[in-house]
Amino acid sequence: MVSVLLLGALRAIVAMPPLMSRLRQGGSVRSLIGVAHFCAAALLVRHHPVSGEASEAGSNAMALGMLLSLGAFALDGVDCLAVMIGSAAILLMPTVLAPMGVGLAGVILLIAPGADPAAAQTRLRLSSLCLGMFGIALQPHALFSPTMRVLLGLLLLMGMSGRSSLLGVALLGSLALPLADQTSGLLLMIAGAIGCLAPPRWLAPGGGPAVIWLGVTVAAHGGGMAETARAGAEAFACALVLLPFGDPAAGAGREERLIASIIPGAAGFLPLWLGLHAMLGLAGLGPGWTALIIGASLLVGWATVMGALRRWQHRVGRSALSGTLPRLAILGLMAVCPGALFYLLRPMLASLGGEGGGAFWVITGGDGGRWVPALATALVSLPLAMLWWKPAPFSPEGASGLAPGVGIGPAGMVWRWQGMGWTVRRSVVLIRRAKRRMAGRTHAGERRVGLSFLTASVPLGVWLIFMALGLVLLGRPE
Amino acid sequence: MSATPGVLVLQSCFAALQGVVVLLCAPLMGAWGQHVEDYLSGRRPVPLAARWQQMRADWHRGGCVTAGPRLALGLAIVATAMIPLATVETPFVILADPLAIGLMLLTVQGTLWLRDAPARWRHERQAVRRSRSIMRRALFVVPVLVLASAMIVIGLPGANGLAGLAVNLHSQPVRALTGGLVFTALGLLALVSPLMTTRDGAPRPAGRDRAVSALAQDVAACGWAMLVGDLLVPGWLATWPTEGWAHFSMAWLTVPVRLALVAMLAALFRTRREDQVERSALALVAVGLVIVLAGRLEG
Repeated sequence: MVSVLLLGALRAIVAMPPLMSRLRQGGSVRSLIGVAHFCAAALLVRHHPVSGEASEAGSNAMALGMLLSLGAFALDGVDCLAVMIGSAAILLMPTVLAPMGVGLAGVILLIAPGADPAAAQTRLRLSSLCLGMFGIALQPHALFSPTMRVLLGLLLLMGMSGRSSLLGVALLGSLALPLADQTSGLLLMIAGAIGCLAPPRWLAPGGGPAVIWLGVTVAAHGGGMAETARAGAEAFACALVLLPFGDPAAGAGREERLIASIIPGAAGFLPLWLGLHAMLGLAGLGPGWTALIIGASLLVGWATVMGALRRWQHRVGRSALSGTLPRLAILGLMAVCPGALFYLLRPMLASLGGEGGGAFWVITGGDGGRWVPALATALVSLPLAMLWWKPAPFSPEGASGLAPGVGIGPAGMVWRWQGMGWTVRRSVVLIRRAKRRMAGRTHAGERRVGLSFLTASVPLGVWLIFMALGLVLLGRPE
Repeated sequence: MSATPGVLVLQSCFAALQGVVVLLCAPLMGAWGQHVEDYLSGRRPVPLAARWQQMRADWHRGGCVTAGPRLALGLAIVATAMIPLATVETPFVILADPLAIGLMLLTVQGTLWLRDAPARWRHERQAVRRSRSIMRRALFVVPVLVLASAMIVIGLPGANGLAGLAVNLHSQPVRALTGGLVFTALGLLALVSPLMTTRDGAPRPAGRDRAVSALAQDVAACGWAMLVGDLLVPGWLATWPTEGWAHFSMAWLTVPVRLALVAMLAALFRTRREDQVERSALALVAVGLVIVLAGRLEG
């Protein structure tokens, strides 16, 4: 292991000076520097003599601080994405040791305690986790056994939660069981459901659904549904990439939040759509899964709504964070053509969900659904483009004529057959009066009265009518 | 149908026709819903043509259109282009996922609400609070839409969105799904009925801005009505005209009737108290789910 780490350090040190010299040139080498920093930081932490808990934590923080202050690599959680993509660019080179090194670095940083405040700690763990996962997943057949998959979920959960959470403990318990594939998927889905229900300070926003997608992938893989597993793995990858963007504390700008939102055509809609359809595809596994899937889909829908509300209520505004353009570019690429992202992540997807997919523009859910992200983005961005049209010149007549807004329609306009309903209305009023008299209700109150008493007080009859309608449709002859 | 250029052109023509029909019908549908609601609750009904005329007068008054209503109108038109209205043969129905459409329509209404709320907050705090609670409650449409997707997949595996539902149901009828979707669509309608109203509490300055806002609101309401109508009876949607000219023409001709029916049902829901509507929505969705599950277990 030490030799591996040393080799990683050598690579990092060799790579650093030319990269450092180009540091000021902009964001193109940003991700490479990030990876190099990361390896070096992990190795420094690893090689520091351990004399005591406190000193190790302090030196850890100092080493990290020194390295972090070197430049572009601000571990604010959003840059984790750049690190992922950059490390993909490096690690897809045909060496076996590099992914191992980075994966180990991620795991080591995950375990190592730090003296930083909780938020920074969380983000640090998050990014280290993404790297570690990426490193592990790049290895073919590393995820062969179900235990490894559950371990992966455990790592993910530990990375996402700032503290030791209930979920981690539950998953530790599940590790002790002899697991079939579908069972471990089920456990992961349950853990994700708990994560959806957990208070937001326990788990990064979007973390619960991500774990559910991982569980869907594992279960579909175990059930032999290759397409569903593929869709689940893609949803998981999308959710992982978007995870840092969902952090309100990261201070994303307005455009970034717009592209990462769950509006169809934006990037945030993709993991939702893919994961939901992968999960719905699991219904083919058997009737026992159906009820679970319905419950889980309701839960995910609810969690999505709550997450969107929470993100909306967290008002950040236009932030002054530097390097927004690469993030926007990656988000936009993901929104328009997620096939490119999947192509980049194909080792991970192949090890998680099996081979398959490969379509660039049309992505397929696990249940026969299809979605064309580029078409959706083009359609949605058309009205956005309309915003840049020059508006009509301001006219003082239009602005000064403040109409009172009362009364719709010009005065004097009479709808000719308006009076035809008087007979009906008279009977309605009579019925209403009779009913009010019968109910002994004399005050009108705030409640609006009218024909609505038909539906308000006889709901059973309405239900029966609707039921009959449904039954008629059910028993309709062919 | 294979995607030859001729087919694509014809499909684009259908999409354009659908857009025109929606833009023409939407204000009438909104006015009709308001009319029914007024009638049911004992108020003096508003004439049907009044909303169109109001919009026309506002447009002729001039003024500039701000960003919010523009965006809302554009998004609403896009969303209604994605929903099949009379035929599934348009280029955009591949995007007719209930969840996607619902999220887009919620975005439209949220944009419109956001445009008004801060300005009104100073003077009409109560009204803004009320509209905010309506918007928040409307977000629970999202789980219901997810559930509708789940029901479609469970009842009819392999169907792709609303268009796939209509086409597959045409060739392979699943009664439990058809019956269950009736209830789910009614529950959905009960939840979105507060969003389909044309009565906005705040008097706005007259001008093009108000006209465009009103049109966006009506088109969004029409989108909800189309979504509910497609879920209610998917068999109304026609496939390619050569596979049944009578059905094709009837599907187009009955569009106003269907929209009017859905708007009337929404008005019926609006005259009831909110908590009752929510309870009935929950019950309706649950009944629909039970029916679909029963059909699945039977089959």
